[in-house]
Amino acid sequence: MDLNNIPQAVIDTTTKVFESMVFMKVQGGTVDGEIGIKEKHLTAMVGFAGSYVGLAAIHCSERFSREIGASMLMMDADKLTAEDVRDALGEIANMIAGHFKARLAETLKTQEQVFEQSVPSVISGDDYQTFAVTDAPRHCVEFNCDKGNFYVEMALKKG
Amino acid sequence: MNAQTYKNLIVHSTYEVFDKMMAVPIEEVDAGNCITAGQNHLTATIGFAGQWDGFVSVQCGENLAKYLTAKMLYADVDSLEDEEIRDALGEIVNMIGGKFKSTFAENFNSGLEAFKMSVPSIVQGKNYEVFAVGSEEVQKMVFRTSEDYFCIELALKKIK
Repeated sequence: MDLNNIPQAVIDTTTKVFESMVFMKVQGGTVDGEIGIKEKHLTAMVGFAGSYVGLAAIHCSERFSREIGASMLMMDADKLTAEDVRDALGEIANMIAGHFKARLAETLKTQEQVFEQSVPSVISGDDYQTFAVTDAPRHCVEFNCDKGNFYVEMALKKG
Repeated sequence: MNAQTYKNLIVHSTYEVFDKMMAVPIEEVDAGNCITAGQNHLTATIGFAGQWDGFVSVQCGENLAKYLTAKMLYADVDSLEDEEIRDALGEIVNMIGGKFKSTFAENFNSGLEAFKMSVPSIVQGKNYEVFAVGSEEVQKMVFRTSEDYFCIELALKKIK
């Protein structure tokens, strides 16, 4: 993992998580563009705390979040409760953060925990924005697949 | 320690930050509207990660967030930028989390750091809800200032 190319690490970890857990092939697209979701959407965020600090977040429409939950739980999308959908997206954010952490530790050649992950929080609504209160560089990558698009953000700096 | 002890610690930490550090008198109340439907409001959250997992968050309307920011920065409410307001609320939740962490350590007294704190995140908008995933119990407290109500939420569980 190139610490000067965090977006590529985001693409690598996100595509891996979606392939293995959601059984979806997704492709990284625009880097550091605007988050352009115009319908009801969800954001799942996981904070990092330790020798590195920051956060990982995934933003996607409620409709696509439901597809993710259905695929993960192998259920019909319309049978999922709102809580199932939030839990699934929180778990995806958690896994993206976990894979990213492993890649970072590998890069730094350390067996130590580079950071601990906080419990995910999930935001649901149709009129909100999210921000991280940090001077850590924050990158956003758009992902596309045949069922829609979504965005993954990563902010990271030494603690 | 149990949920009531955590609650007492976070209430104490909130009083310390508002009353003593910011000179904003507050009172815990049984109920009150922290947000008004259709109006801008903010939620600042800081995550806990380590032997214990969880978060603390502060939620309030934009007007109270502006008032608190102006108090912290010794500035006029009308001159504040959005980013200053978000940063100030992030700093408030950071101070409450930090105070909670130190008082928690005094009570927990294990000699080990119970948890580390993540960077604060802010949600700002007119229509949204925030949920914790995997937290056993989220405790919600309501406080009143001279201007408006605000809410504190706390989730904490031992994982190691």
